[in-house]
Amino acid sequence: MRRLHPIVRTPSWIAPPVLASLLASAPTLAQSFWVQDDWTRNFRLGVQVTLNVQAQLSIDDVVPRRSTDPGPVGVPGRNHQYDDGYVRVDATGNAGGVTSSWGYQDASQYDLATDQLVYRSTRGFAARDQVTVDSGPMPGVEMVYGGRIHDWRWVRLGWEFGYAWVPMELRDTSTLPAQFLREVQAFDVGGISLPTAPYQGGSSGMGPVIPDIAKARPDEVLSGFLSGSRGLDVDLHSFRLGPNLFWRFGTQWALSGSIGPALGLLSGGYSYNETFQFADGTTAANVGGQDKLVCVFGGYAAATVLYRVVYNADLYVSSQFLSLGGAQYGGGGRRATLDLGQTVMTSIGINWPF
Amino acid sequence: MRRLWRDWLIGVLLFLGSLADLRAQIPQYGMELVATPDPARVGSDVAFRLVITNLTSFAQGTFQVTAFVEGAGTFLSATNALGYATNQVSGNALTNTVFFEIPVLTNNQVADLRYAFRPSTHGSIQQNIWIQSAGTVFYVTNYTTRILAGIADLRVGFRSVPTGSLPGDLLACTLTVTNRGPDRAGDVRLTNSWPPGFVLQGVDSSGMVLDRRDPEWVILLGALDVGEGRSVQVRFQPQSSGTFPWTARAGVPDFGTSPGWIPAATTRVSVAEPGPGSFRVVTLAPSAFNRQTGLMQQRIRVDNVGSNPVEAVRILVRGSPTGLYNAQGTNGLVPFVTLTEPLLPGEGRDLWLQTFNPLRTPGPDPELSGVEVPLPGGFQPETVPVLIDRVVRNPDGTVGLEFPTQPGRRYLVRFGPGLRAKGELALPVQTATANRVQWLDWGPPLTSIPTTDVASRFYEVLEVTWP
Repeated sequence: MRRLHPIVRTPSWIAPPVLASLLASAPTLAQSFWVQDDWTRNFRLGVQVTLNVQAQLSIDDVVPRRSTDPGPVGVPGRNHQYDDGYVRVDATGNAGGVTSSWGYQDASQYDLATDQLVYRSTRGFAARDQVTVDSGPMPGVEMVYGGRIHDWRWVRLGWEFGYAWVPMELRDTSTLPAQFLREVQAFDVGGISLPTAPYQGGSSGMGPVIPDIAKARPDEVLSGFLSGSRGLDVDLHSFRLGPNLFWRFGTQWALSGSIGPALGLLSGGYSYNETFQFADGTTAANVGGQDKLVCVFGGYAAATVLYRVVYNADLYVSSQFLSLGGAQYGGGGRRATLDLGQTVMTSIGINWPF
Repeated sequence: MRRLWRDWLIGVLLFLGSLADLRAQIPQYGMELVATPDPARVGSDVAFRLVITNLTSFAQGTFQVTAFVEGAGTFLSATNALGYATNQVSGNALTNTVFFEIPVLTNNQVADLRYAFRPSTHGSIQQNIWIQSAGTVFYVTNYTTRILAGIADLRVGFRSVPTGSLPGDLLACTLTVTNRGPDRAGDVRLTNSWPPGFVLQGVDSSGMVLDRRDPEWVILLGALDVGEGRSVQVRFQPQSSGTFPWTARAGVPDFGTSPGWIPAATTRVSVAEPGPGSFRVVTLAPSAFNRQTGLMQQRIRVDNVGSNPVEAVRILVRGSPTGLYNAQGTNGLVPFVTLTEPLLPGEGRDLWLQTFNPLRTPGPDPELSGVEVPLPGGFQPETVPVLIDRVVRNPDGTVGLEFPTQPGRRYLVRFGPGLRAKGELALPVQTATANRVQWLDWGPPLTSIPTTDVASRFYEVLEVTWP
């Protein structure tokens, strides 16, 4: 059985609403902080906006490319993947030294002089870029669970444990000048009439077949541009625990403050979805990334204003300063540093005392 | 004054009747119960008209008729021009008792009693009719009205009925059932009356056969909305020659059809014995791997060494370890191709055989033989046209077509001497293995005459959507 203890004195400026509510009905009395209730726990759930997260993204020196494997030259029965096609092992195991599982993108890949199909695979590029990306406001979700240690009627000492989830995307979409290194291989056509490009042969073993041994050609270095986007796609899971001071300063109003240590778990990582735009007019896609789990530590300070709407539910607005330090991502010429040192989170939601 | 006389006369007649202790017998009443429509449909009104004629030669006073109607439904109305009518519904709503009373039914007078229901479940409405007069039960009889779950006029059609086949051929025929309404058909069943000597090999899509009791067997087609059609391919093997009738009838349990509608169709399948022609079939060269097609290819020749001209020759290919890629059919387990060009005595034609050998190496020469057959035909697949985006006339005279495809889908080429000519189908149907197909017209047996021997040829590429 929950008990409510009315406070006798009422400040004059809040008297009208209190009297009005008293006149309206008895249960309305419960819609007030102006009582010392015996709630011992509370749970808050709200939506959150996170601000002031930054990332430094840089590309420096030569960046290798691993997303396509051109395979070895001079070796039969191997898979070859290129920017502009493929030559793979078909269902017959490339019986007779030929395969039906091949494809090419453009008619210009056929070298009439040698009767060969020429394939290119970008092995890396050199570019230079450094940019600081600000996240802007990022939506998320916050949950807080708290308890009471001692209550002095006006002021209550308690504790609270908070969890917040914020998906973060910080990307650089600038187009960069770059120098590309392309490995070039060629396959004999064997005198067949090539299907019109773009052609994607199947692995059944039927259809036009070409010899499966790649022949090396000199690598190409050519300029161009690196377009698309690169950056961080991470989810921040922050946990915090600290003491809580709760001050009832009005009939339905209260202010809460909390401070303490915080822990952040960052899942996700660096990713890129880029297009190589070569000077010869051709293009190649470059998609990839590397995920990892990063743990960061720090502290927080939070202030919350609560407004009691009904007997056991409050609306709240909270602001939190969270400092979790930074996290490093990337490798192989790409680097990203996520700065969570001065993160500001504002949330709004509902608080249930129970 | 006239009414007084009439009442007096009725009273006299009733008195005479009671004196004679007449007990009317069945022939002494004319009774007819008509249901409209008959059979009736669930959810639709059914009107009953009960006509009773007094043939007793006497007036019947307090003439009562009770219709005891058994069957779930809603009572709508009852009318009685000579008296009044009431209805009583049983507690479980499955029985209605419709009661009519006529103060006096004079001799030869007709009682026209009408009532209506709206059945809620299919099955039947059973009615017991009782006639009473002056407290005596005169007549009891029973009527049954069939209640249909719905009415669906199902049209059955045959398509791709094979012609020019021999006993032992593996044949296929398409049956299409279309629901012309007015109701959605929930469980369409196609009952086939099967010619004796035909062996059912299978039904596509698989698993649709319900029962295989010769000579009838049933295919479950599922539900068909109004206007919807469904096709099923039946694969079968005739065991003997002749012309065989094949009847297929579509129906739905507890459904009816519109008056005069016949939800059945009959076709005739002709199976011939091989003709008397005599042929020499030889290989002209060992098989060789063709890099353009990925297939092993071998040139053969067939000569008519008989004394009569033949309109078509079937070349049976036995002993090929990897099968025959360009087989146009199978007789038993033996694949064959067919030369559809007439051969005069002493004439011969070159043909290509194609096989898919995963080793891409020549195998042993197959054992070849030729038989005279009627011109094969009948295959009429459902198709959609495909744009040909490249045509090449090769130095050797062959013609190459190239068209975009989707791997796994099936394609067919129709060819003819002119743009408006209906053309022939170049068989077999080809399944695409890439996003483009190069189709090469290298003459028989793919096309009847080599391209080098014709002035012009028009092609149409079709994607086969059924079967």
